Amino acid sequence: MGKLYLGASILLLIILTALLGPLLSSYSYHETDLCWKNSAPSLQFLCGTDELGRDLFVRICMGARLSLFLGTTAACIDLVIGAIFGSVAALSGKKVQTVMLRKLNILSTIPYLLLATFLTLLLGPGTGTILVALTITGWVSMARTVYAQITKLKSQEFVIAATLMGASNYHLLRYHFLPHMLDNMIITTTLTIPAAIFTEAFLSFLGLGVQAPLSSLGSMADAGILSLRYHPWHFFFPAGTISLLIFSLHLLADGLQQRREPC
Amino acid sequence: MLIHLLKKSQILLLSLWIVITITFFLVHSIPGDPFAQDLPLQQEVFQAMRRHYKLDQPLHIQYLYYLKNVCSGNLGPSMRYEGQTVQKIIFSTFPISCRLGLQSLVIAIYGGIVLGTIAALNRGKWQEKLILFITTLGISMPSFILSVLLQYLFSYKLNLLPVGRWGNFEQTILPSLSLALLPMASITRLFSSSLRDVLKKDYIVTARSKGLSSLRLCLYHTLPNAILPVLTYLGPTIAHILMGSFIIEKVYAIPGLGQWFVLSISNNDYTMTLGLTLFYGTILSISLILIDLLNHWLDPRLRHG
Amino acid sequence: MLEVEELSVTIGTTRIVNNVTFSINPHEVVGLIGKSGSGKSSLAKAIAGLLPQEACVVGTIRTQKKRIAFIFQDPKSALNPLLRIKTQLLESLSLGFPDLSKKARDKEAETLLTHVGFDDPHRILDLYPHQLSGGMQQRVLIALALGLNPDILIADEPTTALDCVTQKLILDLFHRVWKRGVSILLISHDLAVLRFATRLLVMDQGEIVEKGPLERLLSQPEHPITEQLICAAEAFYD
Repeated sequence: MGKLYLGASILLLIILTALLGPLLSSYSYHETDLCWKNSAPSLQFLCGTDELGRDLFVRICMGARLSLFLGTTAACIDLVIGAIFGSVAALSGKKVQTVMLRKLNILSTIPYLLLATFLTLLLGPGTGTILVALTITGWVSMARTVYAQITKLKSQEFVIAATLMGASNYHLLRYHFLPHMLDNMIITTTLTIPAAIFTEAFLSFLGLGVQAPLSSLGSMADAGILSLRYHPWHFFFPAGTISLLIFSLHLLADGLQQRREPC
Repeated sequence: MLIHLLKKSQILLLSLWIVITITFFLVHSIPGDPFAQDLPLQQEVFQAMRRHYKLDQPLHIQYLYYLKNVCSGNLGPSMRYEGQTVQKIIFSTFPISCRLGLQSLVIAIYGGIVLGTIAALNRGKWQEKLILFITTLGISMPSFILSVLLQYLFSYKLNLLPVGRWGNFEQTILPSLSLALLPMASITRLFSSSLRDVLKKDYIVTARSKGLSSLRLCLYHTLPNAILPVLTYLGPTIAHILMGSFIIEKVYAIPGLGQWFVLSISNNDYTMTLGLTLFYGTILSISLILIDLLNHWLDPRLRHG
Repeated sequence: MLEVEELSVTIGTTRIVNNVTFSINPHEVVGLIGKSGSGKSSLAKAIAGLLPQEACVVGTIRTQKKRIAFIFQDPKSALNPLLRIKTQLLESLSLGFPDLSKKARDKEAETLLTHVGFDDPHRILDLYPHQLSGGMQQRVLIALALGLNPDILIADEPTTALDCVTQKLILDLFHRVWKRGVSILLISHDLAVLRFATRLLVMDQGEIVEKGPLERLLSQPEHPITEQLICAAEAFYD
């Protein structure tokens, strides 16, 4: 139980800071002021400034917003696509099922990071590209979960009874399957978000992510490496934020899972 | 078992072919010319270069040429780096990446098994809690952060290990460790829970009470059964190490294959990207087949279906 | 040979075996009967030292260094799925008959399989556990136990997965084993299995509610549980 609350509270803290920070600060994320460049963290600049004099705290908040936005959107899209694919596969006839499952298997063998890197080449770097890269194979795990769940539920007696009474597939889905699957789906989504955040950070770190002046936590970390020796905060603040974000989401997912199976 | 190997190789070749074809058409649909970034060329020179690289031919002819070359091991010249062919670059830099990858794999597997055993045998005690905490960190901290952190701590601050580059053994320690941490954390968790399960099984309990020597018990009964889930997980592990190597090579300035891949993408170097994707795809597929064979050899239940 | 005094087994908060006292004499067959869930298996496992670590065992068990072999009720988790039957059987034999030469051991393995009713022991030896049916697995378990050359054999529902013919075969085998000097603790919920036991222990809810010679219990059961079990068994076979 502790895990759930700890994870949720850290996450909430990050979200609140990300949303409110830039509003409360007098600095903006793209204004440069060379007088203040490379200053260490202080009361004035909570996280210090980067080499162009931009306030890092505000930039990190904006970066966190971006990561959260991308992560949640990607996870939602994955949820929808995966759920539809999974339920169609589970409720269709044998032939359609085999074809769909095979597609699923082929897709899951492609290392999605490879695919994502490739897509940025194809579509040019930017937020849209990253979203496509994140969603193109991310829905596979959701589809698998949904498929497995529905297949398991299909053989249960109350479903057979309902089918005998003439319930349509839609009816089954909405009233019988969904309540049971909801838990699993939520947990899977809670794990997709950190995976998406990680992918975005990974791509940005390699230089294939969002472009300046938009700040992404990954690209900030990338830039931060160059000044690691003398201005370590350039790297550690963005990096720490990414880690904290992913860590809190994992805690949340773990906590949710524990709550479901109190053993 | 041989039939199984043949079937799998068929699938391998098929998927490789799909990879080549898709990659080829994807790469060629990218906007931008590989030569566009250079200094303005005269039209004739431009045309000559295009003719040389067969870029003036219709797409499907280019594709056939490419296929023919690939089958003979010629992955084409790099479009950005004069005089270098893709395969030359691969052969000169892959050994380094390979060594990094293998070292990390060994650390991950060995460390994972050792830590997993300690965690499983000390249920509820501080050792297990500590290991659980470290593994959660390992799983949630992205590899690039972990690697920079290690570099900062051990190189910059403590001056214990070299900062980067590749050459002597010392320089391989930090990179291998950084790359191994994520897979090691997963393997630790997997092995610890698997070991706990196996130790409760009746055949282990009886064997121990019968007075079987600990060594034989461990080697013949406990370890082979406990390690099965880890073997199944080896596939994704290798994929992780492959991807992670891009980051590690960048952070530690290691002259491996990873940086060429990223460079080729940002440079629009068609042949390079194609060649490297093909190469990575092949390595991955072969590894997956080998792991599958290993699984089948160890677990008779898979052999007989 | 085997003495148990005031044995109690607690797992978690449940007391599975409560203050049990009995003994098994050399060359004796003792039957342990009771309904499902009465604690028979746990009692037997406690004697053989096979309970999980979390179990809290209180009381005295005196085995006088006698070798105890245990035949599990469920063969699936009692056989190592990765090793051939031959390997597992030879392992047992190396513990039970350490002085045998390798060739003699191989021969003995085949003999054991014949004794438990296999017509083609040679083929069985090369197989893996998952390639055998439930009944075959159970017979292999019995062979493994016998291969240990035990002084005391504890059999937990050894014939549940077997058909009547094989059941008779196994019981005859136990009889022969007993004749060679092995004491047997036979656990069953089926009274008919215990017809060659000399003494019976009746268990209910973790306690021994009645004990005594077989004939006496069959003709004059004192405890209602004993009566129930006997009536049920007789009704089944009538």
